Amino acid sequence: MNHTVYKAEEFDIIVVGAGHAGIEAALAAARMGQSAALFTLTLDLIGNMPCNPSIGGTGKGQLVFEIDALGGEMGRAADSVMLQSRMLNLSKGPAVHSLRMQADRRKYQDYMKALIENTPNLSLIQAEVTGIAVADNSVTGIYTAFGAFYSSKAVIIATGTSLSGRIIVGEEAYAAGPDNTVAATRLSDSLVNAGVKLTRFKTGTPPRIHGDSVDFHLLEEQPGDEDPTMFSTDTSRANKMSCYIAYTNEETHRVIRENLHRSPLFSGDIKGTGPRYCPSIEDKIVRFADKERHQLFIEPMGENTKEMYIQGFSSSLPEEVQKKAVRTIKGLERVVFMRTAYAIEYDCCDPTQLLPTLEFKRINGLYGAGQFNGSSGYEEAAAQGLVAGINASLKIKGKEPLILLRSESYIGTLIDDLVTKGTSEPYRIMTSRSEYRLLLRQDNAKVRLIEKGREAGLVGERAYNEYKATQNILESEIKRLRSETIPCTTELNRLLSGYGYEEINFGIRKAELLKRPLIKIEDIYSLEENTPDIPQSVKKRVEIEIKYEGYIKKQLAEVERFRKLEEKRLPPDIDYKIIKGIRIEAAQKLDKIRPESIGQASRISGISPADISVLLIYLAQYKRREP
Amino acid sequence: MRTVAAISTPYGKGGVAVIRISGEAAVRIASKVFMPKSGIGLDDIPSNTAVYGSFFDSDGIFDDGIVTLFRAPKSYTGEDTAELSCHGGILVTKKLLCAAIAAGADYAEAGEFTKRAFINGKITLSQAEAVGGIIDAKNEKHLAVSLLQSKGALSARIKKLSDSLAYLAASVYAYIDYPDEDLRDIGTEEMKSRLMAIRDDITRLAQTHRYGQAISEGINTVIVGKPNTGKSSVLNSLIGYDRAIVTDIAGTTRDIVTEQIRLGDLIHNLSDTAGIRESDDVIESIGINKSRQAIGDAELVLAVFDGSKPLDDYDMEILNQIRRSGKESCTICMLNKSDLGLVVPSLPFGRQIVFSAAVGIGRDALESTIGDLFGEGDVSSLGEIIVGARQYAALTRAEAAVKNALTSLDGFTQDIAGMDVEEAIACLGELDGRTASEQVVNEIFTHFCVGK
Repeated sequence: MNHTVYKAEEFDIIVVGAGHAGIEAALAAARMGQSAALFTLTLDLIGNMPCNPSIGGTGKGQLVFEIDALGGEMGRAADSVMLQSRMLNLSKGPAVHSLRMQADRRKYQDYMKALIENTPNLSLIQAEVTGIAVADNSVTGIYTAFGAFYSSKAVIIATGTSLSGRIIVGEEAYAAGPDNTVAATRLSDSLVNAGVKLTRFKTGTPPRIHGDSVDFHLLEEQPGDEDPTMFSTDTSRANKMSCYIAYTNEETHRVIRENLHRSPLFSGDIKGTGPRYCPSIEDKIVRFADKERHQLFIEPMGENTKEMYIQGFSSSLPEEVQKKAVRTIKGLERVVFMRTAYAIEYDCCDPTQLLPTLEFKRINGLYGAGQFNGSSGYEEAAAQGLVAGINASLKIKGKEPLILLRSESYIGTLIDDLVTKGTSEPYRIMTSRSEYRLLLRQDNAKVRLIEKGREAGLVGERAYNEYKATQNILESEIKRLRSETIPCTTELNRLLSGYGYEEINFGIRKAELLKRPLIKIEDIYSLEENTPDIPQSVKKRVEIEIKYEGYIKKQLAEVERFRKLEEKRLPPDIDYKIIKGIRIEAAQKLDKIRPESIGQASRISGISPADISVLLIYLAQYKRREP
Repeated sequence: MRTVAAISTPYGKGGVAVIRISGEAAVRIASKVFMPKSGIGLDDIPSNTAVYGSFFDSDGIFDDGIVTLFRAPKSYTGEDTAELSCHGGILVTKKLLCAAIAAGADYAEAGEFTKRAFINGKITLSQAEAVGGIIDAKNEKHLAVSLLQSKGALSARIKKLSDSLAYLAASVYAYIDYPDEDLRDIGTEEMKSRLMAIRDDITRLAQTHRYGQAISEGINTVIVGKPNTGKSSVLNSLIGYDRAIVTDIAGTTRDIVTEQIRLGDLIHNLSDTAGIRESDDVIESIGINKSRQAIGDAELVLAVFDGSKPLDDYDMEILNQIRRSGKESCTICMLNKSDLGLVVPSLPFGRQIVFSAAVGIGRDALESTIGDLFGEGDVSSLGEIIVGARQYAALTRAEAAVKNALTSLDGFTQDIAGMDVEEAIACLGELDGRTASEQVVNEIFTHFCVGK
């Protein structure tokens, strides 16, 4: 700490870090009427994408739609700087369709910076935050490296990989944040002193190469979709750039294997736990030794630059080895390196210290968001930033917190997983993490969440009215198809037999016909004389709601069961150590996590069904005691 | 967690009785009621060792005996456990238990030791259930099955099924969650054939329930027939050479007395309406409804006819009732009095036996036919038999979910079928007291190369 500290401005909410989590948190706070300050180590890299220049992807696309429905910014920003849009998993069911958008990295940063600068109630400040101030278990403000003390009612930590960051390339290692920014070196100690338990994670980035040195004709081009989908609007934009697919080969693998001893991952120089979900190339080659090739993705970084990412080739090998290995790849033989791949280690917190509001259980007003909470990915970060920003504001206003359930959102799933189970490696969202996939689709994100965003004050009247209007069209169309019958005509039977179905000699309700797996909504419309004029996106949703009705109902029944357990609230003052019949280990875990409900308790790893039954019995007795 | 104690041997006379104490304070409590002859304190006695000495309470020494110590986690419950063996009289056993209670132990609840073993992760739910089976076993087969299952034979089989389902789910989701990884998409045909194999496996396992129930709970058997066809002589052939009446249980839903008899490995619950007394004529005295109900509830119908006379309306009515109740496949038609000359050619359904109680024809055939219906049959391993109704219900739900997955694959996509697969895993997990979703996620990383 500095010798002299001066008292600087006061804010309601201070956000530390202007990455994807910090931006959403600060915007939400300011838009909800709080005076907010957003601190960054460098104003030139706000909303940076050091990992890869795309937003969305499997599970992540769902997150962006949810952020958008709640009134967050990520979807709008991505839309406005889109280079290419691609819907993934179209060959699979609607539950797992996921949008991925290549974004112009520089324009994304500019968009966000301009937006923040133009947002009322929001100050954007470049400074290194060196400590938090805590009095009586409540946060009271932050200190900066230049001797300022800014007081506030809430502090949201969104430090990403900058917190005690350390970049490693081969035998070379130095303190730094992503893309060679300065690291925040002092905040960790202050957090630890305040009682926050920190741990160390690691992640990596791929090399960046000069586009002119790539032989694109030897690679597989991957253009965007013909009719690109947007995150935030129905108005489609044109794709601007393509991505390219390349593959590693035996020779690449040999180069890497021969130089493994020079990788800090294997020499033990890297202590942090890396993500299983985005392993480095050397990791992949060691762990999946029988795989003959790995797919790589050459992505453009923007319209005004020749720089390109080699996604899938993140590495901490020495530069010399990286170059040698990359140049074994078909199409990249004469590649020119612009930035070397690096691994980065950073401090993050054990997220089981957090409530589902993302506030620390033991420190009032202190929140965590993004990679600081042990997650990985821009979308995961933005989702948490939004939730932390909303909750910090709601708390100051004295209102009920916003807690999203697993059954209604991927955001809820992500946060519940983090705060309930903790994580031993950077956590990435995946569709397989959700039990309620078919309900948590991109297309119905607004149905699930817009009311909550509106209640928080983040969804404007216009957007809400538009949603309402669309929803009316959807509902009346579903009703129409359920009530109207298609008479038994030759056209109908021609359609049926065309798909290999048996012909029928009776009329059939349109919705019933649509439930047959191969029948499309367009088929129904082709048999009609008067089809109402309905937007294409709504047609798709009508089709999903009707076609998958049976499965949707099944999941709704599961949600009902889930909700019953969530509604069994555990009293906050419960003393697990005195509960008869509970194992010591289980009592310790329950005491550490302090779950809010039986449902949450049942998801803590290491809590057995038997423990839950003991807890249920205790709860029944407890309730009987309370009048 | 409190330390509990209970008498673990049957209450009453016996050479030796064992009092088991389990919990953190087990060794401390044992040392307050037991003085080793050697003078070495119990704290210094190694695990799994028996020590000779004297039992005492506030009145002084009252018996000599042996204490065996099992320290956590290497004990049945997974906790520190002391087993106190004293002489087996009621008085001395009680005195020792009281001494243990006075020294700080609580009375153990029924099944508490096994429950603790489950809570402490020493055994799975199906193993716990098997322990109950060992205690309750009414015949050697049930005992043998329970013993094997208490060692985890059934759990292992369930785990194998659940692992193959988790592999399928993981294959589907890995492909979806990592579209850029050029993972091999598990083809719909491959998924189907794997699912079919799993379905058949589950079906085979579910079918063992018939046998499992027959050796544990008993087969609900009804004997029907018009008067004077020889129902009682059939009954006697069932129980004649093994008249082991196990229990008399007062029926709960109907005021009928059920008699439980054992025939070889199998237990039969013979209901009163079945004509245990010759005078008790089903059709006449209880009426059509009652007999229909008896047939409807039965798992085995023994329909007795007088084979020496042509069938009359009465006989036809009985056959109709069986058909209406859908019990054709578990009906054995017995053409009795065949020694008087057989005039009934053959009956429309059911397994058929030519019988004569009077001269002893058909007894073997009856036994082997019952054996065909309820016997070990295809049971490949005694440990892999579904005994309990709860297990059976969970397995049946898993079977239905796998069938749904197969249906979903016709027309819908794999991830939709994946939902059914996950449901099946959950059902199997329920059978064994485990849960599913984490399993699937973990599986993804053990089998696949994934990347950013």
